[in-house]
Amino acid sequence: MFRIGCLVKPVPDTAEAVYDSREHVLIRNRGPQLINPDDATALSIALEYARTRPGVTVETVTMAPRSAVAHLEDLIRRGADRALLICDPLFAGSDTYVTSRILARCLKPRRYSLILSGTSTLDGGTAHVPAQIAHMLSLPHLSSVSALTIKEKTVEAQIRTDAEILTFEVDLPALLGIAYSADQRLPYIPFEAVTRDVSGSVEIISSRELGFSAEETGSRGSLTRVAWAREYRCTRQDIMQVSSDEEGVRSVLRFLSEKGFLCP
Amino acid sequence: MKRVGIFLEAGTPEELDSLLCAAAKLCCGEPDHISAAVIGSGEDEAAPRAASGKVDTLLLLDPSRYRIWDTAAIAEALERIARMHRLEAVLFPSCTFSRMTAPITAARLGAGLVAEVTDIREESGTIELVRPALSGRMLAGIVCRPDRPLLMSIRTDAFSCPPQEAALRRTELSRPEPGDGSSSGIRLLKRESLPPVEDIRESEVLVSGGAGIMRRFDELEELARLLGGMTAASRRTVDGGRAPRQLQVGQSGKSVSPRLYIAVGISGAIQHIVGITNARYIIAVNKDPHAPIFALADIAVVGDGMQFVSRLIERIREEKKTRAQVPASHGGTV
Repeated sequence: MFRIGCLVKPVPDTAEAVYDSREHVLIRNRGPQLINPDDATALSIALEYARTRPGVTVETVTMAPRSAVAHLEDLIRRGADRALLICDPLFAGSDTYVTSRILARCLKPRRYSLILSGTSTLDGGTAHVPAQIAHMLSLPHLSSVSALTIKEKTVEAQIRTDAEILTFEVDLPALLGIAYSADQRLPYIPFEAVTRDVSGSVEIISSRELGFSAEETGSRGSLTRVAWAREYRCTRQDIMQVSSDEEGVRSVLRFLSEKGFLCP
Repeated sequence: MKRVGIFLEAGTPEELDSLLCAAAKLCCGEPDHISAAVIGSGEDEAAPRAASGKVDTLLLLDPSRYRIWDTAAIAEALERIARMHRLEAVLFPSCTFSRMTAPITAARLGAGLVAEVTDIREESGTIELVRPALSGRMLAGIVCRPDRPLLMSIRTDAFSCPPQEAALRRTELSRPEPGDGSSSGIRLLKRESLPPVEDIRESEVLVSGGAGIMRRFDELEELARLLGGMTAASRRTVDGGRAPRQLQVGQSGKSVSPRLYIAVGISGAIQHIVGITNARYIIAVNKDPHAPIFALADIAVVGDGMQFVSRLIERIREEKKTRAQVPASHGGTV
């Protein structure tokens, strides 16, 4: 039996996200949500591996408000065997350190053969959580993994930097953070699964089951807090608008000449 | 804040200077004590040479015990160093492996960590670390708990200090005891060098291609060559396999500051825009007259990107030919 746990987070579509600038929290229940692209890449690798191998199971693990249930049911229709949702109002406002602690405590007794996650999320973009969970569970860890070959006792993981490609062999169990790849997409929902009733297939886990007190979670347990946040705006004055015809090209050429870009 | 530690991943003078610049900003002046840790064995290497006179303690992590991917072991060493040197802050570059090491170090120290810091401010005695959030759509000021060390990874391209007459420090070399040597469970199988690509951050002119023209991305090369610059790319072009990642501009790529940035077929998602705000001149070409990138442009060209590029290439060639024929004092005809 080879069990893969996949950390999956629904995130706000960053172009549409709604931010409460008084409380400094994202309003996660409003605006469109999508599965974090890095996480979707990781999950699709796991589902692809499991598809042709009996005995390999894929479970998704998510920490999010209860509204994430619909997303997780969708993942079950796409081939995940099970979905866990860690969900408790006490967890709202948790920073990455507290989030790592909560997820690590949930993952520990489940003894996955391999844990995959995205490297970072669209909303936070810190890449802290996978590394911290790996530390808390004493698992080997790499992130920014761009190619992965899963074997019985090890995985081969590739990391691309600006200067080189590094290929590693990693002992299992391990936790790997996967980099987004446009080529690695979640499978479509098969026709017969579209109408499949999956209600009740998402297991909900609360703070009480994980044994956290109110002091340990949310903003009270966090080591960092958002003091302020504001929209990033940047505009220039005096924009010259032209079209791409000959006249427009002449205007651009004149500009390039005036600014010295055509000098030999 | 007076005692600061820095971790060098690349060990280059540029990386060191950015981290020292951020450390000075954090301390509102020169820190009293700077400890720098780097994987290396001797004084003859680039990092120790660069750090000499700029830091108080240079900690060399034995390369036979610490490889850059041994992030758990490095974090354990950094925790020991932080405690021994009573560091109030530890700064990391926001690079591939430091992004794995920093969170483990923070967890070991029970300290707050802020990622991808682009600015450091002090507000009524409280240090605020500024970073982009929501794919660069927002900027956020993050505060860490004051009773713990403060950890951060910095965007090195966001911190450059003008050269100053800083007092020369007497740099002491130290080789911390290696940890317990237990296996990390990670072994390097293969290391392949990628062909060297010039750094787009060094180029005065960038011609950048987005999703709108990505199938014809290669054709931008000629325009870049005529203007003495390089090509760059949006995330979608890179994700689409049309350009190497080294050319990616934006929040998840590089922040660039060329004199001229020509954006072709780039709509201007915020994550791209945050990478080009320091460009001196921007010319944007897009079919959509409402493309957000136009708000940032000196010239907004509405229309087909590649048609425009082809025409411009033709005109620049003609112009250059004319200039080559006419004596310089007569100027060109535009």
